[in-house]
Amino acid sequence: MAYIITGTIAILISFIASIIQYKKAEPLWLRLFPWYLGLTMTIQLGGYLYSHFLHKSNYFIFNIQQIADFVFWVYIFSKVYKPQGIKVVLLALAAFAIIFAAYDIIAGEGFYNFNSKTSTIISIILLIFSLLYFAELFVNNNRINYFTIPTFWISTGLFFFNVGSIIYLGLFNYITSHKLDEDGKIYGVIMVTLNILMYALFTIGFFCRTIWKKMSY
Amino acid sequence: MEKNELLSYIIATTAILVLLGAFLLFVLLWYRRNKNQYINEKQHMQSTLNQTLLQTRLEIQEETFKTISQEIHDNIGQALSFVKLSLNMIDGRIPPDIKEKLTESKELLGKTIQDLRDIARSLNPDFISESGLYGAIEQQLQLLEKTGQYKTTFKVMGIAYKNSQQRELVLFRIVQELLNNIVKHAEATTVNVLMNYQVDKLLITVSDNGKGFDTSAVQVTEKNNGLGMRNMLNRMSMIKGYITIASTPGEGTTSIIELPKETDL
Repeated sequence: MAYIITGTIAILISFIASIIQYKKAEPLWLRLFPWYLGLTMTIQLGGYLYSHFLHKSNYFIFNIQQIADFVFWVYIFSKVYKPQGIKVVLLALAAFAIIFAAYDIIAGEGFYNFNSKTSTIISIILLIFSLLYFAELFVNNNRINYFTIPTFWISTGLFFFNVGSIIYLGLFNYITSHKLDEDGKIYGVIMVTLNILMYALFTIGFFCRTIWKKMSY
Repeated sequence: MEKNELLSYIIATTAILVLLGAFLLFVLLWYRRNKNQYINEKQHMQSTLNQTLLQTRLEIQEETFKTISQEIHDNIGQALSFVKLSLNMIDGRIPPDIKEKLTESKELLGKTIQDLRDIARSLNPDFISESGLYGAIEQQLQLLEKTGQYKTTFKVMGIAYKNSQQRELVLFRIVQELLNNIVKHAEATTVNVLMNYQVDKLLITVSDNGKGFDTSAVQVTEKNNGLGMRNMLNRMSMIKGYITIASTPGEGTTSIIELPKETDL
């Protein structure tokens, strides 16, 4: 229970921050974040309450959520990348992940089991997206201050979340079937830590232009 | 493998991956910091080089003006003065119609000598130190008045202070260029110059009642302007000043030169 509360507070803070900065949001795709975070928070809570009160597995909720979540990030990165070549790679990877996710639901791990293979593939692809963005920053020949770029903070948050969760979520079915983490403590600690880190970085991303401007005066 | 051991491996691998990610990010930030420093230094060097090149170019230009000025004064001016002297020595017992022509020629020659002297003076960089900026601009306006095509006004506001000779020379050359543009393009009949000495800056406004032009069509950028305009912008940037040109077709042109006080730079 403590994990779900802490995780929800982290999203809530980020959600409020995205609403506060809604009108000042630049680039414009940042305006999608209040909707995204609000929906994520609702699904997280809904999934928890569904399982808690109905005593049923909520994996199917998260199977759908991870695909919707992935589509959102594909859209965001398609706006972030400038080179056409990278956009093509992004769309190819996205198409592959969605086809694989459909296969995993229909003929793989199933709808009511957690799709850990899909989760691993999505995590790897999101890591590639973040790394491609970092590579774009790396080769940029202009003078840039990363700390003033919302995309940098958001990509960093996403990067750390996926780097930290890929092993556990990839082995999720193995861990649960072998009862390695029966009380879910390790899962809770990892996910809460990563969620706090990710949403904190998102929040900084929403405010970074304002904060940096004030610091520069 | 024991359950706990396996779980420890999972946690350790996760921790290592996160640390590697953090390290990667650190490298990215460190590299960017160095790259930004390099870009700053490069820009600074580029700007210093441009400044030096510009200064050298202007110095060469001023030297050329000085040489031309001396040539006019020492050779052409002397030769014309000698011609005038010779004309004065022509015997008075000549036919009246030729005498009349001779008088006209002498007057024309006298005017030409005077004009040449004025041009030589305005080309000479020492003229600024001798006359001061005020005197130099006033003399330029007098030259315009002498043509009979322009009515000029010249006003000074505020408490005048002296700028360095180089800055005054640059300002004078810009005012010269603006007046030259009025003569060449404006089809104006009145020219007004206002020098406004403010506490922190000097404002020189040059305006005319000529045909004006569409400023949106001629953007004041270094790329697509004529040599004269580019020269003015370059010269102003060298003395850390600004120039604004406002004009509307049919309503004349107003150019404002703004030069911050040297102590405020």
